[in-house]
Amino acid sequence: MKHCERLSVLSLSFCALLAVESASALDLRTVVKDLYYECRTEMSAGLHKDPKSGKIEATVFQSDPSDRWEMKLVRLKSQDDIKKVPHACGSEREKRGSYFPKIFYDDFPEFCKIDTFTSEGHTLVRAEHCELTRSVSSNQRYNAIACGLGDTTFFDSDRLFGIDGNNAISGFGDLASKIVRSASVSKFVCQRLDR
Amino acid sequence: MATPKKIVRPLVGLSASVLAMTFLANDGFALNLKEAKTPIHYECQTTLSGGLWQDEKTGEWMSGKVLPHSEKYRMTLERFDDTKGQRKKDCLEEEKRTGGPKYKNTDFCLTFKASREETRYCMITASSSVAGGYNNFLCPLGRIFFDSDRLYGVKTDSPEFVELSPGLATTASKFSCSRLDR
Repeated sequence: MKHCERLSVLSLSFCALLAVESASALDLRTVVKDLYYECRTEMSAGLHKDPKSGKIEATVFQSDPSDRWEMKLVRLKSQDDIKKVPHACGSEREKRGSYFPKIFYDDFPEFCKIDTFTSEGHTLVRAEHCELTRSVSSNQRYNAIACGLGDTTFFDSDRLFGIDGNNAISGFGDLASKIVRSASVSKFVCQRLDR
Repeated sequence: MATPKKIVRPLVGLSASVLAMTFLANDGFALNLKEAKTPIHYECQTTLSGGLWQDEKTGEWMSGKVLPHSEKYRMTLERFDDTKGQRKKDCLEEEKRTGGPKYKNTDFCLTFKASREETRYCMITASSSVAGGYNNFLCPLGRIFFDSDRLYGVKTDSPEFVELSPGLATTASKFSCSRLDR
């Protein structure tokens, strides 16, 4: 994109289009460098426990469009790469151990998805181990990833959206009577950040 | 003497029903899964569901309440060591993936039987409603939580469907059950 820097507004728009097109054409098997995205929740629905009545209700949750986070995808090619990412990615990989052998395959890459949420000076980092997959849009091309121990997150790098299924276990467990929580599924949309 | 009999009989019947129902309810509340004999059979039904789905014609994503499924299905909870055949294989695979605790009396397998059969690895756990009792179970990969006292559970569907079929919904749902084998 460096060649776009000195061009007119019209050309810049064209370059932006090229960037989108380039994002659409990603083949995740050949990705080498880290990928950066800015994401926001577009829609979310599920179950919610009313704190007053204690009743569980099916709800559409409101999402704040200004509430954004950074999603970083780090390609994992070796045990050394695992040492450089948050611990959760390595431990999830080990738990998937029965079909994730110690070796890494070039044509079946793994990723560590690192979500960084920043709010009022506080930073929260969530990391998940991801495996390569395909989506229906891709004509059998590898353009998507499934993350988390129960494949709780899906992200389509062509259409730049993902689905996150929040774990029901955290929703209505022991603390349910004391703390209001929800079990939900949400769709998030992202834009690629060039770094 | 005929009159008292007429009064007593319905009373006895009523008392027996109330007593029996109380015992049944109490039995449900007092279940300690650590000690319970398995398999335990339930009949369940989705009662509440909310989530996302993709309109097959427009491709648009929608969010909202999803109509509950009307069909009932069978749910069987069985101690891991007592589970056999294909169920055991499926359960074992999930146990490995979860890096499960592998404690004999907390490892369980849960089988849903509707149009197809699905077995999940679960572990039993305590809830705040019963002091010291193991009355809940969690199935990490199936994302299922079930409270055997209150006889309801919560399940979040996998978003993997996106790869398989664009028309299906991904949901968080509540299901309610009744015990079958008392």
